[in-house]
Amino acid sequence: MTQNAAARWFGFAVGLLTFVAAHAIEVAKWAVWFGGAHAPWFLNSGRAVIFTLGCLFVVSLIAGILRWSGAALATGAATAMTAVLFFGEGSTIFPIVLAAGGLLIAATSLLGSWLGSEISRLSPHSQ
Amino acid sequence: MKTWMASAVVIVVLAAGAWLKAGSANSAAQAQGSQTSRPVQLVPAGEKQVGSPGEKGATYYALEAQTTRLTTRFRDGHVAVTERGLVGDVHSTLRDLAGNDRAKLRLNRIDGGHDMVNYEPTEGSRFQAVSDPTLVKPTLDWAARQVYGLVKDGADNLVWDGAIMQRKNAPRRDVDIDVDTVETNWANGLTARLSRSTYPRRQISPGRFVEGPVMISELSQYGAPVGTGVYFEKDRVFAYTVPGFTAGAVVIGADELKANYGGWPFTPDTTWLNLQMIATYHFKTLIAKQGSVSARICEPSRPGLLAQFFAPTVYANEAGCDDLHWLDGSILRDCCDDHDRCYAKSGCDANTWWQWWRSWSCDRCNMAVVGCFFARAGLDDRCITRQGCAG
Repeated sequence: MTQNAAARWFGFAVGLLTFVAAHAIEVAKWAVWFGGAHAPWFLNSGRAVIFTLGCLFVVSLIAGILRWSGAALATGAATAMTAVLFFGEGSTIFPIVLAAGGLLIAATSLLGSWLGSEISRLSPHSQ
Repeated sequence: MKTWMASAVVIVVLAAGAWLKAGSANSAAQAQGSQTSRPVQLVPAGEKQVGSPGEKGATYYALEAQTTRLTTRFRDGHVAVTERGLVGDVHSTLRDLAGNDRAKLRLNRIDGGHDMVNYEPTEGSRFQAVSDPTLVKPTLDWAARQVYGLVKDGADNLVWDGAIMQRKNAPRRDVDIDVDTVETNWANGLTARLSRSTYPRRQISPGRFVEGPVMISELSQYGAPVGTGVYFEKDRVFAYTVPGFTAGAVVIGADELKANYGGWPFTPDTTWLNLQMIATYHFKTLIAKQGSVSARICEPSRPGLLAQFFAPTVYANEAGCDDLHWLDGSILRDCCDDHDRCYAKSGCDANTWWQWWRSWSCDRCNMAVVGCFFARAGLDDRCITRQGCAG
């Protein structure tokens, strides 16, 4: 396996695990931290949106510094989101939910990893 | 001679008895007369009689009496489930965040105005007390707030502070601030779900801007959304829409109430808002059935009780944007409600997104919601509903 392929798989796994971990925290603390209305799901509460995307941003920032793939990280998180949605109660507008969630995840992950790579590039310790 | 004597004694005894009985009847009549001789309070024609300021009216209590179940979730995670029995008895159970029972409160009517209140905490001493009808009209909402207050503040040395029993010298607890969500289950399959949010500044009628913390009541019947009401707490404005019955959003503020009531006669609370939405829909439905209003346009067909019994999941739905409730306060909300109504009317479910060959009606619902999201994404978020947009 080449170094690039390994970085992509790392990014995918990290993105997937980050989303799953954020969702697990939301399930555990849904009533206390996130308002408790509706089912635990990151797009059901403004605070949960900020929390999940915040987690993804921090992780993708670190991933960018480590030169992991931001796109792979976003794909991993989106895969986890899709799985969680389909294992849940379902939604009558699930394609729209997936599109909206996917766009938010992609934008956050790509922004974070780009910033991370820029930090890494500008760092005096790089090269 | 003896016969005459005996007859005379009998006559005297009977006469004395008759005299005593007549006297007692007369005094009883006099006593009764003195009780009912209070003057009748006449009200001049045309004069409006309103309830005491700060109190809700008789209609509120009549409607509240038809609430079968009230689920109140507090901000600290406690949940009070309060139910009304067949004979009007009320049972409230308070559970903590982990789902453990903390206390039970029971109300049993003992005469025309008094109730026996039984409080049974899982920890601490239980008590029973008689309610004071001059201070409180026990409702499901009252029971939920009372049991929460007793659990939070303790139940020793109780006194009446307004309509609430609480510990002597304890600071008054504003339970409404502690309430996070309320679900009111009413007759005829009506359910109102209240939640809180904060809305950015928006124009809901010409020249009227509102913003800030809001209470949102989402009304559904047998799972299909039928209306939405929003109370802007800072601006004291109530806006609601019941598609098919109201042409756009109806906006009520202190100005509209000034003529008859001098403004809001009470501060709207979480339970009132749910009941107000239920009452609005209930009365408008009754008027429509009596034929005194024009035919309902765009009114979705309601799933019958029988169909609901056999296929409840087909129509099971949440008001607002399922799994996208973060957007419930935005103008995209109408897209979701229209989609839910369309689904209820055509008997669709989520599978029709990929099983497109099953029903053209469902395909139309799905295409419409996608188009609605695209069309609205670029609009300013300044209206409570699409119909209520000014300009």
